[in-house]
Parts: sequence; C-alpha cells; structure tokens
Amino acid sequence: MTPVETAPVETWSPRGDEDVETDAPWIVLVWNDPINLMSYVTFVFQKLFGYSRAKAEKLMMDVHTLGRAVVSSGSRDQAERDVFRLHEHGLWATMQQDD
Amino acid sequence: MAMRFRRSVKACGDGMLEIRLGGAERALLNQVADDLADELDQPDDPTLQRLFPPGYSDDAVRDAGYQMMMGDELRQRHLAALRSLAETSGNDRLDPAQAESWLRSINAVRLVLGTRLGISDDDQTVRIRRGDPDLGSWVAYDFLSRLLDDLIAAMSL
Repeated sequence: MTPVETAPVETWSPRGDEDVETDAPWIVLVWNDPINLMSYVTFVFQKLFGYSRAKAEKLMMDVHTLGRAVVSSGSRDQAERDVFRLHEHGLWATMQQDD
Repeated sequence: MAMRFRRSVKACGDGMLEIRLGGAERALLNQVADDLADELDQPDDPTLQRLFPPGYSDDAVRDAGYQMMMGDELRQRHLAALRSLAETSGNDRLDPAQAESWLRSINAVRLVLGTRLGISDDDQTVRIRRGDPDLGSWVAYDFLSRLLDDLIAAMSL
C-alpha cells in the first residue's frame, strides 16, 4: 500500500450559513508539547494518516525540534475531522487556511 | 541507563495483547481511570483543558464554533476510553478495541497528571523523591509512561 501523502485538494463547497471563502486548502498543524511521548506521536501519525514509519518519525521530529509540523491538508471538513481525531488522541492540533 | 528486561505488554500474534501487570498496578490503572472519568463530568478544573485544545490557531470565532460542535463529542470519546480502561484493568488479554482505549486513556491521564505536576520541558526527567508531597503522582506518571511505551511497542507494525 502506498502511504497517503497529502489529501488531494478538492473543490470546496461552502456550507450555506458561512462566509464566502477562498478555496486555498486547509492545513492541520501539530504543536510540540512536553508530555506526549515521541513514540506515541509517531504511532498516532501512522495510525491516523496511514503514513510510513519513516514519514511519521520525520513529522514527529519536526514537531519536536521546530515546534510544529503540518501533518495533513485538504478541505475544511477534512481538516476538522483530522483535528478532532488528533484531539481524541491527546495531540495538540489546530487548523488554518494555507496562505 | 538502566536495562529493562521485561515489557508489560506482549503481542500474542492473534491480534490480542497479553498484559503482564501485578495487582497493585492494575488497581492504580483502575483508580486513575475512574478518577479522571469522574472529573470530566464536572469540568471546572483548568488542568483538564489540555484534553480539549483549540481547533483553530488564528480564529477565535471559528474556534468557538468548533468547540460547540465537537466539544461534547470529544468529552464522550475521552469518557468511553477511560471507562473501558477501568472495566478491563484486570484483564490478562486485550482485543484491539480495548487496546485502543488503553492507549488513548492512559495518554489522557498522563496529560492531566503531567500538567498538574508542572511538566513544561521536553527533557524534564521524572522526579521520584522521598518526602515529596507529589510523590504518588510522579510514581503514577512514571508507571503510565512506561506502560504506554510498552503498549506502543506491542501494537507497532
């Protein structure tokens, strides 16, 4: 199986009650924190995103040394789902629109 | 560095995990899971906020919407995992769903305990000192960290 890299950018369909937005993709960031174990963060990236161990370890090291890393990107709905799953696993994740 | 000659979790090969823990360790797991599940029902404690991070980095309005939409669901997921850990703390074997609950709930307890202990540095070492009023919390934190690492080692592909 090929590891999932980033989700393809889909045509974004706004919900009816929201502001007009650009169709720039949303990115999901994971931030460094002093409590989560490095082995745990790597494992969660593999499990949630299907990343290879090497890719998950690289992202974990980026979080650890640079303070944050982009772990996925896509539509706003997809980003919200990813943020929720990361929160469910206790990781410090946020989303924002890519500039 | 001390050599660890035995891990507390072993993959059985049939998708199940074998748990090798003593009675006191299992009682501790049961208690920390029950305690945190009770506290989640009355979330006035700011240290519990670590389990409910903001969803948007730079947009307070959208974040308020995210919290309203997903906050209760997140609480229910944390609660379900903690209750599963409490119920299965005496099990010798865990199926994959139970193992997943152990993984998430043990980590959740570590996050809250670590926040209360003031852990704020990546390289902070666990401090086990006689006479420390937080000794029990440090011992629990250290035990849960090692158990989580053993779980991950057994679950890793």
